[in-house]
Amino acid sequence: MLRGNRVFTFSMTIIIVTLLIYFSAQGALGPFEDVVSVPLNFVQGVIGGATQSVSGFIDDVSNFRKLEQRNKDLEEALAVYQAELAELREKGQDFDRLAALLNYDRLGPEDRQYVTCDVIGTDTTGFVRAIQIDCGRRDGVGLLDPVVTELGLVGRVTKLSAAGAEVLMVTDPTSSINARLQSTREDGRVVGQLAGDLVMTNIAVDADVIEGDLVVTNGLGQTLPADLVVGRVLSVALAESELYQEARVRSLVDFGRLEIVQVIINFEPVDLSVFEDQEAANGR
Amino acid sequence: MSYFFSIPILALAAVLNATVMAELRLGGGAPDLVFLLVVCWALLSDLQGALVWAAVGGVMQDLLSVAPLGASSLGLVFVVFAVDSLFAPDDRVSLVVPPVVAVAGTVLYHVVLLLVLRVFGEIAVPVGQGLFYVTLPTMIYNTLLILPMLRVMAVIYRGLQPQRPRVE
Repeated sequence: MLRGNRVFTFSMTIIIVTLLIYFSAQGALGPFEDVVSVPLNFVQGVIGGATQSVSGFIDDVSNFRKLEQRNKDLEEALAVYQAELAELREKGQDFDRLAALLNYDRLGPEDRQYVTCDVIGTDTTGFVRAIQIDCGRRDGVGLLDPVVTELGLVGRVTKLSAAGAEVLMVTDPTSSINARLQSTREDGRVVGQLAGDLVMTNIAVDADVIEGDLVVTNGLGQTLPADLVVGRVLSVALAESELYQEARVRSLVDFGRLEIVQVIINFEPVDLSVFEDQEAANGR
Repeated sequence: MSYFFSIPILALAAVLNATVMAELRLGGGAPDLVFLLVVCWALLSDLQGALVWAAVGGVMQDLLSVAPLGASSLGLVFVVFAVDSLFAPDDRVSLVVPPVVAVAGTVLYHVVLLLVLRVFGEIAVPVGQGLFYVTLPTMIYNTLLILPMLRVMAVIYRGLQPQRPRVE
């Protein structure tokens, strides 16, 4: 091919691809992406399921001895937690009675509606910590719905088609969650790291941060329901600016081995921008 | 013919990237089958055919990611054009050029992808962390896999070429 022709072909391809990116970013290609995603999601589900079965079997075989010891440790831990559970149930019943007396209404864990989904793949770019699930709009899943496992928060739905969805995990560097330390009630913000860790920032300098303390969502900003487990504090240090503390947090969820997740489909965030509009109107 | 053939093979490669290859993650990086297929095609074919493979492969990749459609295509198109401009057709299938293309191509592809994610997808991945945790391991995998992949693709490429009539 002549040099002029080559540059022309290259330039035309760049223009077409840039237009494609622009329209996709604007959401104009949503219906096309929906249609094409259906067969891809189906094939991905089949291959993903087979891959996870094989990978799980290999893990089980290689970890057999470790699992025996772990089983023993867990049996001991279970005995301790059963006593704690009985105590907490009593407190829970007291809470329910008092909440009823005060007419205190909120979306508790028992009110949540879940859709259970299989994880069928991970984001292909590598730069984004995201998973694909086999539940979509037709299963009642909506954009920004929280996604959890029995061990805690996984992330939020960021891309949706009829039969599937993409979930941005809390470990993604662009993820930021308002959270609270369970025992000291100190607030902060949990952000993801590309290395897979979580860091809780913006904790007050004088706040008491206990290693091993549980980190839960605090419901501020109405982006997530309150009291979803995010992880445990591993260590704490003063931030470089020395204006606040930062804690390394380890999620209880193994993000590399997610097979089944649950989407909370009845969480309806309050649109806080309404209050901002009212304030602006009052100030006028 | 090779244009139509690219659609199922690249779709399958994108699905394998999201499923099987994800199990081989080292840090944030894994073998990138779509990148390898497109680069191999660029080493074997002419620019026009390779550009089609780059565009199709990128779209398949982006259908399974949060990136806007075409983000990966743009990176792959740049890689394909660089291969075509820098290496003469006879040098491309040597033992040296494919690994060099895998190393430099992975970096170029990821830099373009990071840029597109930042500008169009509003996803600001920290560049240093991204290059260290994702690009470096991906580059190692791609460099190791490119020569065997090139041999396989060469067989497929020859099979797709129209047969010339024999002169007795």
